[in-house]
Amino acid sequence: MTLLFFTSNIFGQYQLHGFVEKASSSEAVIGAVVRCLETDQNTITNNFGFYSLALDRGSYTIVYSSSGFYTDTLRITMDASQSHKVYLKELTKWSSTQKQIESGEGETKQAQGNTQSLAADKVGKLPLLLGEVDVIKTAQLLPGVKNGTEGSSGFYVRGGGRGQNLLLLDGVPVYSQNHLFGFFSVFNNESLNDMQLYKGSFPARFGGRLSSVLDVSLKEGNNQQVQGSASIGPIMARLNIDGPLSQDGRTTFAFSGRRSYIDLLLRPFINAANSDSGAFGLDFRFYDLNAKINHRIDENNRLYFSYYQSKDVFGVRSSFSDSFRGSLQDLTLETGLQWVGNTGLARYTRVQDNGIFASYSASYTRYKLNTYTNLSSVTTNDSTTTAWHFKEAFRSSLADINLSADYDFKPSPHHHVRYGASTTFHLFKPGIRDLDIQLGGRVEDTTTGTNQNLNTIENALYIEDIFQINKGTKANVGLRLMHYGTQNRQYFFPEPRLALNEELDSHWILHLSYALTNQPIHLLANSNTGLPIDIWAPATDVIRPQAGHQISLGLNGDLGNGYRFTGEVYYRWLRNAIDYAPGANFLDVQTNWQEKILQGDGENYGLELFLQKGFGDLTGWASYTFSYATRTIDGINNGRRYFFRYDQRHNFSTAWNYELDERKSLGFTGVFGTGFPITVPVGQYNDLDGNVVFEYGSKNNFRMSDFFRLDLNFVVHRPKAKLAWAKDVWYNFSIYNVTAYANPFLYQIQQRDGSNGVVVSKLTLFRFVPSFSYNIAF
Amino acid sequence: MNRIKYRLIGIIAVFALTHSCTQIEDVVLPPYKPQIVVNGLISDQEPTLVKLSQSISSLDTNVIPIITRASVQLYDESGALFDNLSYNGFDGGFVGTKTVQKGQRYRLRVNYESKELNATTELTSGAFIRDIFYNDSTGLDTAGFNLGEVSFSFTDIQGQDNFYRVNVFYYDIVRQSFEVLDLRTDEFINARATRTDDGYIFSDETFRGDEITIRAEVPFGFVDNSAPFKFYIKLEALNRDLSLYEESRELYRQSRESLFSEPVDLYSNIQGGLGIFGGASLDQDTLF
Repeated sequence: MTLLFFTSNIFGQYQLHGFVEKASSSEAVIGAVVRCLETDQNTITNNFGFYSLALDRGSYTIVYSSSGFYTDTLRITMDASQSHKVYLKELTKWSSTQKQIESGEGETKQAQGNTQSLAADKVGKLPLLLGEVDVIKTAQLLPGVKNGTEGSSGFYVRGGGRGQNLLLLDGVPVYSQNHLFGFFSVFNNESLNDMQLYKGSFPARFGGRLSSVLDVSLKEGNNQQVQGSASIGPIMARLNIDGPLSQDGRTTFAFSGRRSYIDLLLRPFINAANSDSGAFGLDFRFYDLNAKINHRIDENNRLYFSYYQSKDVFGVRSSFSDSFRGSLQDLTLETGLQWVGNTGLARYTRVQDNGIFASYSASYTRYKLNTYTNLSSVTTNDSTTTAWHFKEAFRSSLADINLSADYDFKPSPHHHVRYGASTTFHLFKPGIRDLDIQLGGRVEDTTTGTNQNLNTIENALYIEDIFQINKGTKANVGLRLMHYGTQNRQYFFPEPRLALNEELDSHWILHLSYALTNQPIHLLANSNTGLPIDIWAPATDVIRPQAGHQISLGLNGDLGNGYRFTGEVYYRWLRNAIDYAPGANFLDVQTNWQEKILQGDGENYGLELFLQKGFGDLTGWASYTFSYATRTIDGINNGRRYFFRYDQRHNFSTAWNYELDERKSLGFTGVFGTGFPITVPVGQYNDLDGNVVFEYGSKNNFRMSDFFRLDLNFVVHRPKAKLAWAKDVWYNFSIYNVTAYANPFLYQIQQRDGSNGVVVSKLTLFRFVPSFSYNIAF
Repeated sequence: MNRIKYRLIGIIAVFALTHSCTQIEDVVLPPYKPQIVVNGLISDQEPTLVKLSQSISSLDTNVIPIITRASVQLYDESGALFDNLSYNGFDGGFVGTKTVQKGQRYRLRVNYESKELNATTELTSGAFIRDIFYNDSTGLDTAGFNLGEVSFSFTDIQGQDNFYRVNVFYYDIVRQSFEVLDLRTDEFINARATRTDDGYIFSDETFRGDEITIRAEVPFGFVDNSAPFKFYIKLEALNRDLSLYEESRELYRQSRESLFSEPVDLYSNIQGGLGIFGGASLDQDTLF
């Protein structure tokens, strides 16, 4: 680090640094391109809108551009290091095409392989399931990203598992990833500023996962005026509000919340159906909250505080009374599950005198899962009262406490250096079962669960340097040193990262990348059901961290008129990839979870094609993915190679938005994918005792049917005169699965009654689902 | 105009109601190629019994077909023909004429409709029951009756992973017959063993190479001094193939009962087919 402090002096250059912010709200513009025309030096703003250029003495023209904004130009004379804050004005729908194309050229030069970005406002114009905008469902339409199950907000990147994705909310990992049994992600689109998805070969500043990093940034809040929006859809309502907290606009806040109201809608019907002798209750709801406060101490020092919470509750309560020979029995059954996620963050950022951008943060994140079943009975007659109960609960949780320091620096025109360190304490409780029984003479009150408390530590040091090798060649070379410690074993991993960009001409870039990543925590998720029962467990001295190598080669080009093309091939191989052992039941806490998992090798490769139109009335993209994902693990499938559960040979996804006029827009998405493999019994035969048993033959031996879906969305803005306080009112009409194609949600396997054989049936959930939402901005 | 608009909305609403509901449809699996299933057991106490059948598609509702015409032969370690098995309808399979030897390896060859199946297995040297005791008064049950306790020991076979199957029978004075004693009152059996129709199966994981003693509770009054003997104890040392098969069968049973379990295929050592060719070395003893 000391070397880096002196680097700028060695090169004898000056720093031009500052922030790029939105003109309307002073919020950071993430990923804006900053170019010096004379030197052809360029950089992009980081997650805080910060940029830095190293320039010799002289006069320069600096161009600031970003998709969705007017380009701004600065003429500057460098005779000392200086700071410049730039405000970019948002484009209107009918802005100059010329300016848009300029911006697009800049972006092409910055294009990186394995990376996709999505702006939150673009996501909102695409078709919705049940009227809900969902950034992860939009990400599922990108090449190399798959949704797994119909309607699910989980995603699978380049043959990796769901637990191999790192979801970051303002840099803090989020472990609770979905609402409503997986149909909605935990990210409220209204609260988001920007999203970056890194697939596999992510830079050295990210680590701890194998497949991808989804880096989501929250809005910071408008420092000029209080503003907000609200919407009501078929199953939930949301509110978003942000603005200044101080007169001078140095302190801002942003708050957003959502709550489902399925329980409220169903309650009258349930109450009407209940009678004196019995009652049924259903508690089915979720909510999430995002709150953020930013304070600008001065131009160079800022404080950020953010908090996020989500909770899902699904509970059923049933009770009835019965009289028999003078006795009255009251029987009550309660069963359900809850999952809760929290994150909290405090961050201090500082632009040092030498132009180094420093960020120091402390964060906390937690995921908690509870399931419960309570059965109780009270019987009364003339003289006595007898009672019994059976209560069973299962708990699993993970909490992280993280401290980190990150630095961002441009020491010379040809180097952009990032370095930092982090320490994370993982506090695991993989599975605990509480049993409380009072039945006749039997009284039992026990807590069981193997490895009830497992605390581990994860430390990392990283450095990455984006540097210009020659005029047309740029490299991002990085190294991440990772330490992971458990009670019985210490692991040390050096993780080299490399990305090379070769500018073939002014429109085409060839990129090559390699990354080694290690993952010390494992997600034990059940693949047979759609239930959101996720259990996180640490690597131990028995279950080793998973490791993944990835190489990729891609081509990125500007085709003109706003069209961009990306083509990429990748190959990933995994070591210590995990899968469940035959017969393993992940809810069985009597068995040590380490005995339920087996580890082996994985192999994934594929081709991804992506055509995007970023500007004009018609915007959107089309993507095609060919992929292949297998696992070879001793003890599973007799040690033979088998297809990964989310192996999909072909996937075609497309998403378009057409601006009909200033008030109306039409959205369209289409998805076609070949079927995922599952395990079904293929044969039946007699065992040693003459009992009929089923033969599976091999793991994941059957392909689900192909998936096909077309969705439409129509947005119309109709400001109402009588709602003078409202800036805008808009209606969103969506049809999910227009063709009513019967897509597979899951396959049920049921044994026939009274005869041999099974019935295998395909369950389809969503066929032609229209929805409507009413939205208002103020 | 409004009428057309409302009709259109009505049509869409009806279409949505009828089409947005969940749908379940049966799935046809790819054609299944039937396999020959061999279930063969060798023992040092009884002649070899091999049952042959054919597997059918998992969707098939018919009864599983039994094979009664086939050539079934047993070869010893030197490759010489040891026994020729013939079909016996009473036993429901092919029965040999000789008993095999402990510690020896055997090969089973089945020929059926121009298909040949092979399997080899080795019988263990066996474990031996000793120190059988019965104490007729170890305490009182909840109703105030006396409790007894039967115990016996054996030593694990050295140098290999073993599975054992144990069954204890007592003479029931009411039924005037030998009945199976519930061994789950023994702490080890309760924690480690799997109860099957043929006894309690457990591995030697926790007492590898050592001696183990099983102590089971006997309800007072169940032991009749007029019986020919009080207890009959059966201890089988399962060989590796049968152990793996029984282990997989237990996993299979458990996984069938839970939605959250991974599917299990039964272990098979039959080349060219399904099933098991395994064996058990038996030791049995009685307490008078």
